[in-house]
Amino acid sequence: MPSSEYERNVFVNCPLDGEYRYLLNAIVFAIQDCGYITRCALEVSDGSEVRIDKIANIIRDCRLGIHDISRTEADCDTNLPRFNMPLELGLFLGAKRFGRAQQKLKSCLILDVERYRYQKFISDIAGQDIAAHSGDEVTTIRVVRDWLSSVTPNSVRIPGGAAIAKRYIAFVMELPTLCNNVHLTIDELTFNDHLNQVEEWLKDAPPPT
Amino acid sequence: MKPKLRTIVTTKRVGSVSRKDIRAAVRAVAAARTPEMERLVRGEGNLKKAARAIGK
Repeated sequence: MPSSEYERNVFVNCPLDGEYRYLLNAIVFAIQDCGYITRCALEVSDGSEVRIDKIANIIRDCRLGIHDISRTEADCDTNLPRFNMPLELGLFLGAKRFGRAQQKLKSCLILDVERYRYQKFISDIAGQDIAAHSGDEVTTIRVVRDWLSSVTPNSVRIPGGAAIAKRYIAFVMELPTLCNNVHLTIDELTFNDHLNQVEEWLKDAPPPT
Repeated sequence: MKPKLRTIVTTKRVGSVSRKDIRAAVRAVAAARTPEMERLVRGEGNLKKAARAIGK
């Protein structure tokens, strides 16, 4: 059974290393400020669960997905590229195509550094709408917000991209003090800690004008 | 009909810090905001200037 929050859950499929964390943080903030719920493989730390099962369960629970396929560089240790993001994108598209009625309602945003670069390495997804984030947080927030706006009912208003970006910057500026107040450093924050902080900060913040 | 502003959702998830402590930390930070920061939190002000403040 998918989660009761299926409509609002957004699966984030992106590199999970420290190098990408600044963009992941921007994506998370934009999702939450648009009134949606971020879901990501980092949220579960159950070592007894097989990783692909964990990811498949999250995909099942999410109507929406954000897939960043920008990490194409070879790993410096193995000299091979990592294929996890395209695999998880494939799982998401497969669930949409072959799943039950609710799964067929899935919608996703595919991100890369440049808009048409994907044609050189994953041309089978031609025809899908691919957006460029240029490796920049403000652009990423705008792209995520605009896409979420397109899948949000007309009866609900979500803040504009510039307003969310400014709120994100305010959050980033206040994060060191927030962490200090709970006796942690930014580096010590788990993904769930970070997400809980974003949620509480947004709930306390005055609504965007 | 005028569209209603989205609501922020709270989800139960296990973190290393309690929600109560996070809420207290958020309130303490909010109480110490300058008017300029308050404007930024509302999504107002100059985006480029704000981005420069965090080195972007």
